[in-house]
Amino acid sequence: MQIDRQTVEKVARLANIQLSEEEIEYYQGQLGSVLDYMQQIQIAADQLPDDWRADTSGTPCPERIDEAKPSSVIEKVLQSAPKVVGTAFQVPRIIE
Amino acid sequence: MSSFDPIQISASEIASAVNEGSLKAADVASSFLQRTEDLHRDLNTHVFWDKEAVFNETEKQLDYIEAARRAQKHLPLAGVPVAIKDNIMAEGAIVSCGSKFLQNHRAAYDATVIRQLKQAGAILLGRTNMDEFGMGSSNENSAFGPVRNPWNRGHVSGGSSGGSAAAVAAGMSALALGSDTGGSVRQPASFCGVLGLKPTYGAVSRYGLVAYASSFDQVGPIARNARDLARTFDLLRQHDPLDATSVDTSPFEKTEAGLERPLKGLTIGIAEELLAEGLEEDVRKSFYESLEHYKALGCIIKNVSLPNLRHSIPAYYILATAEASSNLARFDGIRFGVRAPKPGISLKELYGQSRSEGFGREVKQRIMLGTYVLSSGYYDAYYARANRVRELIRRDFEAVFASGVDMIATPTAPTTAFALGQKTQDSLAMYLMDIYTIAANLSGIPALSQPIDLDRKGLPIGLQLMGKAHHEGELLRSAYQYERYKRWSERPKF
Repeated sequence: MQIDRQTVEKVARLANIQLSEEEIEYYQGQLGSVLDYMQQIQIAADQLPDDWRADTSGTPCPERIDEAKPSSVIEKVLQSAPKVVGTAFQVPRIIE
Repeated sequence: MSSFDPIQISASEIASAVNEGSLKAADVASSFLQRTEDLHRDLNTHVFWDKEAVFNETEKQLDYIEAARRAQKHLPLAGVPVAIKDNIMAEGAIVSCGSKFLQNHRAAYDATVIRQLKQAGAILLGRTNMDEFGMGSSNENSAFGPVRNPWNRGHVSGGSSGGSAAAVAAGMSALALGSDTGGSVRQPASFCGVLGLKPTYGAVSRYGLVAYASSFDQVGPIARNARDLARTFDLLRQHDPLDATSVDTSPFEKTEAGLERPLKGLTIGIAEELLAEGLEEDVRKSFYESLEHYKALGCIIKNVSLPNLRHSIPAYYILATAEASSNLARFDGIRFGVRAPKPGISLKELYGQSRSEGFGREVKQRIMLGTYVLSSGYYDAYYARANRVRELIRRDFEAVFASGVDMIATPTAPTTAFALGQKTQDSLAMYLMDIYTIAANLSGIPALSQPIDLDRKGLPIGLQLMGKAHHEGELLRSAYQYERYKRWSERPKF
């Protein structure tokens, strides 16, 4: 299956990944061969009803009581923040 | 100091000796620390290894173990060193997931499995190398370099829990934790000649495990013998309200207590259709020999059919990459990860640059694959279809188990450990290594890998047993009795 350059660029844009020229070429080849192989699932004999859906057929997730609990992890979490101001993550300005 | 050989002594022996007071937990820790110090560079098993820091961190735990001993409280893993895969949160530790993107990320809390290990008296001895975010079958996708196989340094350790499996095989640790999304505990265990268990989905808490593909991920133990594996699984298996997919089927029967129960009458299913192309001759031969040993132990071997399993790999790589593309969206350089340093760029550019610089080649590929199969125009053909195939595979297993089969046996991998660099330029060839392991993740059933032999190159061969959901006990007692019958005790040479 041929994956064109535009498709690789589009998928990379959707995935928020910037690619170099060399990477675009590499992924064109790799994605092409993997997606080609993935197409074989189209031939799986499907005996499931047409309206079968994965998201409604499984057992529902159990719920737990929504209760507030004290947490003292703020300082520990901030240790891993790329940038910190006071007790907050500093993020780049997005509005001029 | 009592003298013992770290590579030979089992976790259960260490725990008994420490509980009795004939061995000091501090001496055990020192001995394994020194062995790791001596060997980790050669095998590249550990990330951010710092002997002094690890030793200092054990102090509190050594006090806890000593207090328990004085109170005559028996701890199941008293003084047992456990190496931890680098995608499991342990408070204060760098949790990099084998990625340079998270090389500064310090865990703010303990994963449930870490809390359970500490309560059991285990000593955490180091963080193990892994394929970045669990994405790989050879440990060559780590930002910190590949793990080398203890049996042959020119070969891969398997992956993604390669550091954990190699550390146990080399006697740097008596036990290790890995995580298994498509075979990442079992396949490296097989390549390194140790045992690995992927528990039933929901049996062990995922709270504090960094997510790759959430509907597949399970934490699993790695050990050098079946009793140690059973003991570790018994203490990890517990309902956890912090993980919404954790299953509460208590009271549990301890699998270790049932190890001696005879295997007579257990039926093992073999699906011949899975044993066709790509299976190495030495692996095939040892696989069939191991079935003869199981027969001698009283098991019945029966041919079964699992017609949809041949679609496991495409279904898995569609669904797992789709989940990964969503799970890894959080690594954006804002909340997590190293932020791209360029000033004056837009937010969108900052995301793009941070992710581009932070993620390795395979991770970018899987995120893009997942984005593609979920994108408009392709969703029904790939993602929705793969979900239906997953259900068909689950029903295949259900039908086989309903026909009176207790376990299904396959080789763990079609080959033994391959040479470093052999498959790094061909993603598909690498993905095909997961042919036998993936189905258990797709259907949520438990599966175990045990070493059965060496091939003619001297590399270990693994047998995989898959069982009914929440029937880990049968897998563990089978491995235990096989181990005693066959007396397989090969160890890598150092």
